[in-house]
Amino acid sequence: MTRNLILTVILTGALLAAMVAGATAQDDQMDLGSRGYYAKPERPSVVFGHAFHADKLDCMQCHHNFDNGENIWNPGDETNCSACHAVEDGGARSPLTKAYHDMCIGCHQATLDKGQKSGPTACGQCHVRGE
Amino acid sequence: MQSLYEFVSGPMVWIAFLTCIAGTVARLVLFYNLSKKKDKVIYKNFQSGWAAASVFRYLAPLNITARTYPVVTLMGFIFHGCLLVAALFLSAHVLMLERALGISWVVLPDAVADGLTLAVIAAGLFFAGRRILEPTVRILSDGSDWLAWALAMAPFVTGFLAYHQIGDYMTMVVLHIIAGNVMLAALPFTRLSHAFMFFVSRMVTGSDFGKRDVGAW
Repeated sequence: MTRNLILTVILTGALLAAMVAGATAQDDQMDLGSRGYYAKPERPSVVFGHAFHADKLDCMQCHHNFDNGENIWNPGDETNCSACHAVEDGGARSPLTKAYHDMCIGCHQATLDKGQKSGPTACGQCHVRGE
Repeated sequence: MQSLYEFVSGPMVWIAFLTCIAGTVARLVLFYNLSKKKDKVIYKNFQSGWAAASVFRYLAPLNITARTYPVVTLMGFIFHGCLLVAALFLSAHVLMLERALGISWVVLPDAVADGLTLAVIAAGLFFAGRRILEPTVRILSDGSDWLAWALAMAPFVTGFLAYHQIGDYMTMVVLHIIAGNVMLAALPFTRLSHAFMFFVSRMVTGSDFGKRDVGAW
């Protein structure tokens, strides 16, 4: 009985540790609209599968920090798109919506143009209603 | 379905616009040549001032038909006005245009465009009802009239359903784009050609009435 109790406590502890580790690790599904960027969003929030993309692509294919035309971003640097791309027109930088669209649809379109299977390009495929 | 979407929103749009523009030019040229043969008199002492005045007078809501047929005139203005504004200033359309050609312009909030779409559909239903119930219109109606009505209505019905994601989204959005493309391509070859022929008839009538000094109305 004591042995079973000890085993139960250890296994529960291990399970809790795994859950905490999972929760604090890189987000798998990122609900971009829930971050409060847009005061009055026109379209439903986009849920971005970060882990899905991170498995297929190199970090620097999306994450960037351009300096004289060179991407000098490194893992550990700022990852949030909105940190540099403001919602309203940001001068030399694209506003946030354009940045999202250019990055996401741009890449999906380019991949499709190469004849490969790719991600969504139509509005409602990312901005899904009723979810 | 993705590749079908790529085709209808890519090459098919080009084909639709080119067909529309080429068809419009062709019809105008043919009409002009015909008028030179059959109706030379309109060109003698053509009154361009009166012609222009007549076009503007009939584009404005409060013209003679508004006085004689107020409901039909109002519904006509709602139908055409909302149709053009919704199609040209919808954010999704302008966004796609910007991605394709790099040009963009001011857009409407989606809620406003939604309202305009419903107004177009409501006005369209009014005209369908009128065509069925009004004897003077019913007696003149044939398939080509209903085709033109369907061509104009289809993009708005499918657009509304696609935007609200009613039904399978990709199917609806592809149907919407096809409906729009077909409407554009068919425009010069159906009674939808009144989009440009209105100006032709109105200018000729305006000039003729001007010659007789009875006003451009």
